[in-house]
Amino acid sequence: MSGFWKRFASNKGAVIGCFIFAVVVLLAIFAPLIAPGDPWRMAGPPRTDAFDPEHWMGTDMLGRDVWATIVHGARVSLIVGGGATLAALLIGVTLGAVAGYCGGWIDDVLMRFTEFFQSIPSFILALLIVAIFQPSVGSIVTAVAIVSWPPVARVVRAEFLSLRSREFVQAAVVLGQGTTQIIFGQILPNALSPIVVLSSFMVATAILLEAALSFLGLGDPNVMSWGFMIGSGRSTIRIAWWTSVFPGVALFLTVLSLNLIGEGISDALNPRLHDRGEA
Amino acid sequence: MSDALLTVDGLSVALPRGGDRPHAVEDISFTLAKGEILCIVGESGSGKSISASAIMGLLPKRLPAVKGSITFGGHDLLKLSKEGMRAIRGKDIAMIFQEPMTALNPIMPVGKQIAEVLEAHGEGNPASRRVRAIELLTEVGIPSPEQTVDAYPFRLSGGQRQRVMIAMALALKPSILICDEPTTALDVTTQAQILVLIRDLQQNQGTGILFVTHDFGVVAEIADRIAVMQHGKIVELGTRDAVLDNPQHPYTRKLIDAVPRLAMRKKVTVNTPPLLQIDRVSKTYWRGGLFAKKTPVHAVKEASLTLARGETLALVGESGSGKSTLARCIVRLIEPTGGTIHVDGREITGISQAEFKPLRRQIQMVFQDPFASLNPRKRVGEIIAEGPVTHGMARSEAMGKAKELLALVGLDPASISRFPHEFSGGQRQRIGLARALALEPELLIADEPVSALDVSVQAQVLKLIADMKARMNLTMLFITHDLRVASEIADRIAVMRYGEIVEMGTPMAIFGSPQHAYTRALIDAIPGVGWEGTRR
Repeated sequence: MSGFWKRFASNKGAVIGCFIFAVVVLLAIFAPLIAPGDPWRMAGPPRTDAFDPEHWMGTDMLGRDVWATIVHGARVSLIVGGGATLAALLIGVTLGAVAGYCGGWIDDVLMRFTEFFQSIPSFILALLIVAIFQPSVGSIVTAVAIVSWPPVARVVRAEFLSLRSREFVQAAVVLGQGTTQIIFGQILPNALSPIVVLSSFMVATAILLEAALSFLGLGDPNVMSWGFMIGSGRSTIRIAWWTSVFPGVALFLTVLSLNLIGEGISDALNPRLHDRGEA
Repeated sequence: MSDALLTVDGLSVALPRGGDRPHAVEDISFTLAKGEILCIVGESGSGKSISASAIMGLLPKRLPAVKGSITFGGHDLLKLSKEGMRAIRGKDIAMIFQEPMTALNPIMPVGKQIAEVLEAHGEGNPASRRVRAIELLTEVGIPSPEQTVDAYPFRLSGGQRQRVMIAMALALKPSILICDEPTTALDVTTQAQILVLIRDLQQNQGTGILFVTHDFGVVAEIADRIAVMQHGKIVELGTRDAVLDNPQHPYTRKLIDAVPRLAMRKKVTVNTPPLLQIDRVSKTYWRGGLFAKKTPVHAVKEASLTLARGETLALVGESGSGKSTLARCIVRLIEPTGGTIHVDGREITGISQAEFKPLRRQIQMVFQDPFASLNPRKRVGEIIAEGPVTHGMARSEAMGKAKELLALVGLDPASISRFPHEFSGGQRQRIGLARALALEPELLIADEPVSALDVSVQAQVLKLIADMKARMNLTMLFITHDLRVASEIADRIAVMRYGEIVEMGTPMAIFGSPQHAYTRALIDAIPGVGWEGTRR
């Protein structure tokens, strides 16, 4: 594993990604200390210019401090990103593993089920789910998870299909191990690398989906979100650009950092893919 | 030598830094004369293939030739430009590879691929090239060459593909042919045919042949002179008879001694009740999809055999003969479609997996591929302890047992906390054996356990298996494609072909008076069978 960390650390993009992501995580954790008080309250005169000594990112039409909304918005982005990814992994890995290991009609049924979800435009489905259940962090996490598990299931199934015919799996059968034990104890640890890479990209996609839902006014009304700020600042972008540009930059940097990290992990796990030219 | 076609003088090829030695090939010198077959023989990692690649100018960039010269037709090939090398490659020096499956382009008819070689060197026109391709296919003994010339590679068998590769190599009548393990991936009867073909070429066309192999049987069959390589150096170089019958270097002696002998042992009469009874077991697969007509494929056809307690039976056959399928039916990795299997008097066909689980302790298996048969994410201790833990032994006790077993199979007990990738192929096979023995089985099924190993390692692992068998009073079904190995380890041999057991008997009977025509063909095809008589 030390080889993995060495290769990961030598990837400049990945290190920068880690740094940005760490800043976002710290902002989210220490939000009440960095920007005390409710981010929704009026903190100053409306439409204070950016780079004002009191409010360095300015305030919006209702006098809310933009910096405070960014700091608090980081929380909901990470909760939705992390929560939805975990839930999607749970569904995707289980279904993919069972389909890939069992094969036959079980595989057919599970894959048709997966394709059913893939054939519906995912954003519309997420909108629908959030609109049916009241908008809340819980319903958003559920909606994002429901639309993002199919790719996981497909990747895990493909890995299992190739791993299950390996002799070490046959050896486990001959030793008398049960199906559950073989799936989770023998095969899954060998399928982890693509899952890890995929999940870092999924966190990024989930954050974007949450922002898009909030932008359309379907965010949780009780928590501050970057998407909501971009949406509410949209109508005044020509007179108060800072109200939507700064949350937009925050969103952009967070998603970029996750993509850099994902790519770094992928390269570090498959060093040969990129050395081929030199061989 | 004045008639030397090719002279390699003091050639060294560097390994990248951090390798186990500074040079892949170090200071090797040899010559190849017209019409001569020089065999380079050695175990994996000895540098034999690198030497062949160096002559073809196919060394990867990380492995540069740092010293010496390769002289051919007055030129030093190492100093030649890319264009100069390209003109020689294929035209004067041709090469055939180990894997005929991947060396041909799967989406191009074979005739076109042969014509391509001619076209690349500006020979003839499309019509004449096609005629020449058919001519070449006839020459290498492809049946109905007029049709085969338009066939795609997937239509051909492995042996036929290798013949096509040879036809391609011969297209421009090269003066040197380099063969890199050309028969390793082939069945023994096909191998014998290809070796005859190569022999003929050398005699009729006077081609100088450099033949790289790990198999001393093949060497005995085909070589005029032999170069033995170890750790990148040529340790012995001489005529076939001198090297085989009077080896000077200790490493050569060790290699030759490691080749299993065709022993004609008499059966040690075993008068014990049978442990394994297989009665008319069949396995039929149905090929064809939703719309295509389904056709049956008989992997195993009504195979019957009995194993007495303490007996070793070798199941011998070529690829696709159904020997592995039959073995997998016994451990129920595959469900047979017909027939019955009794172990220790209990029928195991048709009972549920739950009923079968306690019986699994009695039947264990050792697998072929030392790299795929151990879970790469688990430590060796866990791998060995898994079986006993699954059957209810406490973890700490199982770990203690794993340590004992490691010592028993000749590995350091301290290595229980290491991962499989830290071990060599032979060591992994020992771990696989320890895993099977951890359940103290009565019946051990060994599926080609030594086929992927170098000959000297193979000898050690075979000896270990025989030791363990005697010590734990095991009954063993040993599956192999190699009659030499079978004769060394088995009390009885069963020969399989197309899913059927065609002959069964003691090694003495099988080798002394084979009854079935196929058994005779198999025995005749053993490479170096003529050398057997003169072996010390």
